[in-house]
Amino acid sequence: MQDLQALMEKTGVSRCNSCGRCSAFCPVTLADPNFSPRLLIERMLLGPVESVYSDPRLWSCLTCGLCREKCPEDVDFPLFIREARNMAALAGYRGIPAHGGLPLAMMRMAGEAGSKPSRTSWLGPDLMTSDESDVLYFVGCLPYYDRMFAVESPGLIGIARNVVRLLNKAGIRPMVLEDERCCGHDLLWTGERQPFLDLAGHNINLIREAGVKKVVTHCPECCFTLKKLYPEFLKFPDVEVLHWTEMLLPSFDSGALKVSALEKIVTYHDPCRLGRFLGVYDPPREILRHIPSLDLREMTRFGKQGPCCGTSSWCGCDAFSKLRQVERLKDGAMTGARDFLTNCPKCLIHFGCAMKDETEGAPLNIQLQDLSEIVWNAVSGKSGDNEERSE
Amino acid sequence: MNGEESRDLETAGIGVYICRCGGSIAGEVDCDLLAEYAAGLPNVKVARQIESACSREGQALIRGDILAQGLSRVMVAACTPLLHSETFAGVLKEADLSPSLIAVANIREQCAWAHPGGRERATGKAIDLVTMAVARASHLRERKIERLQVQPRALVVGGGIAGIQTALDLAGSGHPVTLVEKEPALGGLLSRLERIFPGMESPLCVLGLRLAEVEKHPEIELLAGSRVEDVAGEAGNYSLKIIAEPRHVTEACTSCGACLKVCPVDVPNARNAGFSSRKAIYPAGGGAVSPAFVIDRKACLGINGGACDACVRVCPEKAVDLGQEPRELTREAGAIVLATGMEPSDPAFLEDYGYIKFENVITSLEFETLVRPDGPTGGQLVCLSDSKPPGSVAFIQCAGSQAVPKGWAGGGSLTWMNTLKESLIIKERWPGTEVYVFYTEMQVPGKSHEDLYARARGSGVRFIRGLPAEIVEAGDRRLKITGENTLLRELYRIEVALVVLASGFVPTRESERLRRLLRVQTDPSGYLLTSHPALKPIEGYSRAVYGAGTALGPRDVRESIITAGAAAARVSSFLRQGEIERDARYSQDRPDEEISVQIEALASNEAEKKVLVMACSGAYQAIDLAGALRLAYPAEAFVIETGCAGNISRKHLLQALGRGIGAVMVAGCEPEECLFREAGETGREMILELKETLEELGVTAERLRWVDVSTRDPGGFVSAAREMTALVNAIPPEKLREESQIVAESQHLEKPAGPLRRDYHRKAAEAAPRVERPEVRLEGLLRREVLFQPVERKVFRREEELPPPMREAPAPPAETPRLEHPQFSPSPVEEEPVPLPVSSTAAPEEEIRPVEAEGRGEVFFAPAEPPAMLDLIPEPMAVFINESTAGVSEKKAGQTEGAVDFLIRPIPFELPEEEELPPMDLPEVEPFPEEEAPPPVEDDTARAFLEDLKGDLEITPVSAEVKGTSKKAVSFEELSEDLKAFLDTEVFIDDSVVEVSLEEVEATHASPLPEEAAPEEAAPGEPPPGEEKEEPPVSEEITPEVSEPSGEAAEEFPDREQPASAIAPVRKSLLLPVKPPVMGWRRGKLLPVKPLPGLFGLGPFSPGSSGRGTVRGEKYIASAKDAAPPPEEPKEVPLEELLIMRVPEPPAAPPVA
Repeated sequence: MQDLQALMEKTGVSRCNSCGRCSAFCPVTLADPNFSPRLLIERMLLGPVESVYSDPRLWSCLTCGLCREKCPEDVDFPLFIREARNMAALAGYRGIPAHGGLPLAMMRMAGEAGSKPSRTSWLGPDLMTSDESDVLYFVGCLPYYDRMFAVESPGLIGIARNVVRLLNKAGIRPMVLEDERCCGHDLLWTGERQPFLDLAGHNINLIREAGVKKVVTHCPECCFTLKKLYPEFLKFPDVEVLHWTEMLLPSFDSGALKVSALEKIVTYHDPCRLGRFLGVYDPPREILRHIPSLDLREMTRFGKQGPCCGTSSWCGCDAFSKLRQVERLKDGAMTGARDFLTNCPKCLIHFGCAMKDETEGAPLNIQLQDLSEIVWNAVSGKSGDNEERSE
Repeated sequence: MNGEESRDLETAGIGVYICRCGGSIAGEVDCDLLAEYAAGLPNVKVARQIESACSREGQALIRGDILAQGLSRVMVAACTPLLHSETFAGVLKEADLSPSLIAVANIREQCAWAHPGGRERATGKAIDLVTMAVARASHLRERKIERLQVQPRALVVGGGIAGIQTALDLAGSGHPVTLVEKEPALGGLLSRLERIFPGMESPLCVLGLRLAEVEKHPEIELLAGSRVEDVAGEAGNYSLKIIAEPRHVTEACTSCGACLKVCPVDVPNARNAGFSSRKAIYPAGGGAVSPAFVIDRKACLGINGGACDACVRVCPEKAVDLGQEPRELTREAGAIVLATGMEPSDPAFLEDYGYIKFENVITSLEFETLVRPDGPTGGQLVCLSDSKPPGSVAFIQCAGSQAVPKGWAGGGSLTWMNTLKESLIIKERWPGTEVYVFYTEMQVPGKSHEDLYARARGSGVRFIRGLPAEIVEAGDRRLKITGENTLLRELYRIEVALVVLASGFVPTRESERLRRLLRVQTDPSGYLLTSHPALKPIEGYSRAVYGAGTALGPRDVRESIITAGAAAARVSSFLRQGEIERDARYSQDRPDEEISVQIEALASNEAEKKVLVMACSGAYQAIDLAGALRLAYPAEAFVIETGCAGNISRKHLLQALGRGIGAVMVAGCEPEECLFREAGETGREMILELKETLEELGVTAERLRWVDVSTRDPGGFVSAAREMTALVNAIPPEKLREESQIVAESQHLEKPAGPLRRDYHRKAAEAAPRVERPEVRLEGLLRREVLFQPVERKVFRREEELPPPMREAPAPPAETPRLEHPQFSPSPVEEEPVPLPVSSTAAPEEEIRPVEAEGRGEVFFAPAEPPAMLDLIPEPMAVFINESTAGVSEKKAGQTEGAVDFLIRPIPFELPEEEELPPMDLPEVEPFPEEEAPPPVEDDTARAFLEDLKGDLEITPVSAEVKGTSKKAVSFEELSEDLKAFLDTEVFIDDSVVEVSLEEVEATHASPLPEEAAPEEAAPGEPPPGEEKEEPPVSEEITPEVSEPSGEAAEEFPDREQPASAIAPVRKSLLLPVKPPVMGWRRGKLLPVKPLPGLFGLGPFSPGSSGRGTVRGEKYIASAKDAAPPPEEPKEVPLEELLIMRVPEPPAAPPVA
């Protein structure tokens, strides 16, 4: 097929010289030796290229981007997977969705005309928002996940509250949209381009009408989607998209946001979309360094080399995923940290699930926390110990 | 148009030839259509397609047409005129037509190659280009050909093997040559290697002979330590400004090495990859390549305002002259050969290979340094972490012959062959060592290279296909390598002691500067771009500039020699012409109407969409390069070459705008590259002024723009062309037409409103921010700068100059035994020789266990015993603070009791901010006349300083660290007068002040210590006896604190059963400044290596058999011992051992007084 051939050139896949650096580190390969980015490429290069469509391994990739980091030839394997999945989906192939396809179904529904979400019900009286603001807070699917994954990771909506509180403390009253929809990230990465475009068009219109200068998100995937993926497909208004750590770091630097000491040892897990895909490694760490007495310890692999949380795009969650998650949690526990911080609701859900299911027998002495939680504790002067996220 | 021109047009019969360029053009441009179109243009008599216009057949066709059809003008639509306009001019000449009557339409570089993927667009542009060129051809006039004398001299830049060979070949064929080398010694990269493949011979075999030849050849002017500062002129007549750094050592130097012993400055030795240090005065080339001495101007104290002239005074031949100044030379040269070489790339950016993080990850050049017998370890391959031989070594082919997208520098087969060679060196010298080579592709092309590969396989080197994905350090500093074996399709986890990154190569930084000066183009990797990849592999794009050796790209010695010969041949045939035609590009003779008619032709079709680029000759090359690199830019951009951009006429700019052309861009050289700097500035000013005027008239000023284009980098042009096209598209056509009307009607614009203002630079900075261009390999370069930056030594001078007597009347060396080294004059202590340290007790390497220091401290060895050191200290001069040295070293526990000599504590010595200590207010000290004692120390400053230093010390009782000894620090008051004086008049104080036990010193000398010391202590301040230097110096350092020998000590020194009153072992420590170690800086760390018997292996002062080439493997230790002089013959002790002194073991039977 002409398209796939063009895609192989565009993503540099045909440059692959099978050096093996990717497969030595691919989290999927480590669990499942039958999968390897370079082998997938090698087989496809032999042809027929379309054989990749029917290959179930196309759907095993986590699109975490570690192979792209390792590749000396600069092969953009995640992009290749994304586009190849789209072509495969058009040819009638699909991966195995996680959670019975519920999260993806929810996203598809959100994209349909006529759906009327209520996205602001979580706002409490202490959270100040404004319809005149220059800053839009894009909440994403958090309110849904809060209900959907109440068992795996209770109190997820606390993240959104913390972010609004932090913004308020920094003197920003963000705008929050009633009719905002899912950003569509997971649909795009599982090959469903049209529903993604529907959602993207809707959200872009909302952002344009809002007339804001900046959009802030807590979700790395929303941030990545708004910042990089929307402009790739559609005309995006002249709006700056920021993760909240990027937005608020200057306030911490200038001392506008005062922080009190927290006697804690923490470790931080880089979400792939925030780290490798957006390059935001430092702002979260910088903010943590502003907290006196807080001891940030890095795991053996972090930053660019940091592994994946185990699952992505609600696709193909299996025993291997659990294995990876438990490994990562142990990695965190090895640092001696009590708090395992991450910055992505999905990382929280996935790790939370692994904590519930897999480490039941030998519970790790760590507590999963979102970064916003610990930062808000430091800003508000709470100790943060044993407090539930939900308020 | 006037009548004369129209007459000219009528008579002109133009032949148009469309070159298909073997499909290279025809693939993107519809040549049939083009030829058909051209045939319909006015005055065109013939219009043909040619498969390849530059071929013999093509030329014959054109020539035939001119003769048969009576053509008066020729227009060829082909590649860039830079490539073949001379070829076509030659054809015209053969057909008795003036060679200036040729016009070339550049439909390859600026059309077919620059706009890939759009055949219609490319064809459309080609049609416009042909229209313009035909219009120009109609207006061509016969032009006088300028002829130019060629200077007979050739300039060769770079004294590596390629430069040397080029110079020799050229001189051999009778051309005078100037050979410029930036280093003080010739030899280049090759001289830093241990072996060369495939013959595995020493590079010195290759270099040695040629060096001697270069030096004595009458036709070769060798300018070592020089650099080309500026280049002016043109092909055949280059004028070069050369700055020659002085050597400061005249030819009277006999390389005796006396100066080495007195020079107080240590700097990292770049030749040894910074693993060892050298003095400010040193044998250029490390002694191996060239024994001639030279002074490092940056490091020398005396040259940099200090008061040091130790080397001047010690030199028996009076060969040192600190007063020399850099000279500025001018040379005329007809041709230039760039042999500027390459250097290994910095692998620091390969984060997962941990070059920065792990000591035992080294580069291949560092490996060569370690295995070189004249290197810092005497040819011993050791791990940097513990100085032990590695049992296993892994080579990683990280050069990435193809992996350029992410900046992995290439090296191709060179890197491969180098690794094969190095793995063989290991296997042959240390056969038990495991060797792994990780690779993705084997590249062993070439004669006898396959054999080397077979040998490596046969000797047990393991080749593993699959690059490691990560290297991490295990607890014991061993390295764990993880990756996929792509043949077995399984993961490997291999642990080795040493990892060698077979890094790729990059052009030297010096060569980048030179190429900028010469305006020659470089390929994306930064090597010299030759004007044809196959046909002109030596010639640069600039005429009479050639490349040789690795300046053209990575290649081995053999190929370097071949290219050197080729360059010499080309240069020779160029120079032999004696007289050449002047390069048309430098001609100022560009009739206005040639440009006018082209603008007119361009404007005749869809003018409002077009962007006219008026490019100077330098920018024109860059625009061609954009095509050659397939950097796509909009097809609406049309280039007219105008000579210097400063010549561009206001009239033409207004004509273009007035005729409705969308935008006009003037592309000029970047200011640093411009040959006609002043003219370029005039052009810029003119554009600015015109923009202002246009704005006042209501014309969009952005339609006119100046852009700086680097000849070497078309990126700036490409982005500017895109921006201008976008701008043109954004302006509504009606507005454009309106504006054109305004311009066309404002004829008065042709003259500037007033005199040009000379404030261009300010305005330019405000108006046009510089185009950001992507920097290749930026990260690597920056890191390399950090990494390989030599450690800067802080020099602290006294506030006052030294006492005049010391400077004005230095005692002659013969009369100053303090300056003497035992090697040069027998020790005055004839009856009781000072047992010289180190070698006699030199423990095998394994027994030295360096302990990593705390804080910023590092490991090095103990100081000399103080008296010996005092002897070496010539005069009070300056105080050094060396921030990277301080450390601990101890002999291995369990060694012979009593053999523990010293303990140095690491001192976390915090330098004040700005890394600038306040000038130390040491007291003025009288010169040290022999008959007079040092004055009593009354000034508190020195004491305060020492107390301060002590405050920074972590003084731990030594007994806690090393069993069997007890040592303590003493206060300043407790020091002997002599030592106080010594400290006062100290030449160099490192930040390491150490505790040294005197036990062994005393035991060694077992001199009548207490009796003589006591009176001295009783009257502190009393001058020591005049002949103090002849006494065992230890006696002068005795402090008042005398302790009884403990039982433990008695055990330590069983021999010393003498009465305590007579020879009581006095346990004292003293604070002693430490000599900077002869040891290396590497990533801010010191490599703890053993001092070697013959550091300067080939130098005349190398002690006997321990010289280069004889030390191998296990023999090393033996030879080190052999080379060590017995204590009775101190004069044979090599310098380095003396400087890194270890206190010797007590002799078996100390003489009794």
